[in-house]
Amino acid sequence: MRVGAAIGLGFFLLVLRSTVLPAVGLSAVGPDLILPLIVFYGATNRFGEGVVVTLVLGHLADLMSGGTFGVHLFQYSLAFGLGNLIHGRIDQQGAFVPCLMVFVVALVTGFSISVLYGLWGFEVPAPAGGLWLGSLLTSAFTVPLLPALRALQSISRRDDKLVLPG
Amino acid sequence: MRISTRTKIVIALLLVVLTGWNLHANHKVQQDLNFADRMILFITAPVQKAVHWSLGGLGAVFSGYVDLVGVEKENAALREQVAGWESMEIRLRELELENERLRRLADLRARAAVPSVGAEVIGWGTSGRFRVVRIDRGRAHGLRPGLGVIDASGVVGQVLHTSAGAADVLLLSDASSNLAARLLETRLRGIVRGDGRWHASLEFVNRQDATAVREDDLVVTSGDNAVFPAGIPVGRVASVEVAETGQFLTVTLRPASDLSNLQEVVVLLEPGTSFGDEVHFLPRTGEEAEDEAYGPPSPISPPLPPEGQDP
Repeated sequence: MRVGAAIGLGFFLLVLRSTVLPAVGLSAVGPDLILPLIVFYGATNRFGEGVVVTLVLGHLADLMSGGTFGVHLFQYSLAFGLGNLIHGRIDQQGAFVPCLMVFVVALVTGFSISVLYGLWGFEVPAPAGGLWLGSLLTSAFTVPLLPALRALQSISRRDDKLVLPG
Repeated sequence: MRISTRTKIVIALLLVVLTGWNLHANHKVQQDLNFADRMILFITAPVQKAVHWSLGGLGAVFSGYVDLVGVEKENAALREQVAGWESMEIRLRELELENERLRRLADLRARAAVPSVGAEVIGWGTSGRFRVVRIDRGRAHGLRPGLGVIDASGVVGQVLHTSAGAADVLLLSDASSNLAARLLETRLRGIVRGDGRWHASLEFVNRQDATAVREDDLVVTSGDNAVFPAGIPVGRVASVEVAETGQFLTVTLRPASDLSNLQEVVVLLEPGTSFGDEVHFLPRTGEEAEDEAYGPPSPISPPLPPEGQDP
């Protein structure tokens, strides 16, 4: 149920990303609307669900980005792993810390892809606004997503510890 | 079932390594979509199309009525009437613009002298790293990966993936985009590559030809790669830099098409037929038209042999 809702939310965000953001001129800068969802899953207790959501949304994002297959799958796997590392280590209450988490993860994953591409000798530049601006926008989009993430969490088990602000 | 922290770390690491390997493998070989992925696109493309249309409708309503916010009550009826007229005028203007675009596209298709199909852009790639748009024509309309895509202003890109009713088009400005081209006036040849943003560059132009490349020079397709006919505008030279070292010039291009605001495009369906120097996209096919429009070729071009004599 919750996995289905998360994937549905992810698909909705991908459609928004491919239709609404270009209409307001944010296409090239590249805010990633899925990343907060993945980091959220990484930072909560639902490891198994998170793996499934990461793999499905990563593949969907690859399909809908039109670029090289596997970029988003890799980025989201890394983001999920990083979110898991963060889990339980910092106070995640309030809107600032989740945004900061997403910003750091977006920056690290984006940088990792650039480094990997460099090591492999492939040529794919960062988004038009650069990694910093893209990560900042991704982080900024976390704020309006928080209620949706909270709603997603409300379909959760009683023993989940993390409570996002709402 | 509780998963230990150590197991989680191992699984997460494994996930990262496997997806990294998958990325590396996929980057080496660009393949078309498999059946399952085509099915996903088949399902998702109509959703994108519906949202795209809804946005268009909302935009028209918004532009027609946004000025009405805050009007006084006694003038509401009159203002509504005015707004109705304004809305109609905006709609008429949009139709006029659309008509003009379609007329230019139809004209372009007629001059291309190759089978082609018109398409509408219904979505944009969801990644800031790639310059890709999705169009509402696919395999069912004869599209397949590698076909050239143009609009009324010039080259747009190439078809990358296809599903039954939709296709992804890799834009000219994508970093992995390559296209054989030449300067219209001086006939110097090069490879146009995207810069990953909204521009492109003309590469492999020798530094000794620096004087033959000027700002605002038109770059057209050379017809060498059997994707585009020769003579389709690719862009204009934005800047020319002569590096201190290296064999080639750094030539930056402004794409002829407004790649950030694509609406209708034309897909050229049969590369390899009728292509070559015989087919020219510019008005009045042939070298005469180019000379008439842009002046005779510069002395850098090799002289043509007299008629009836082998080169």
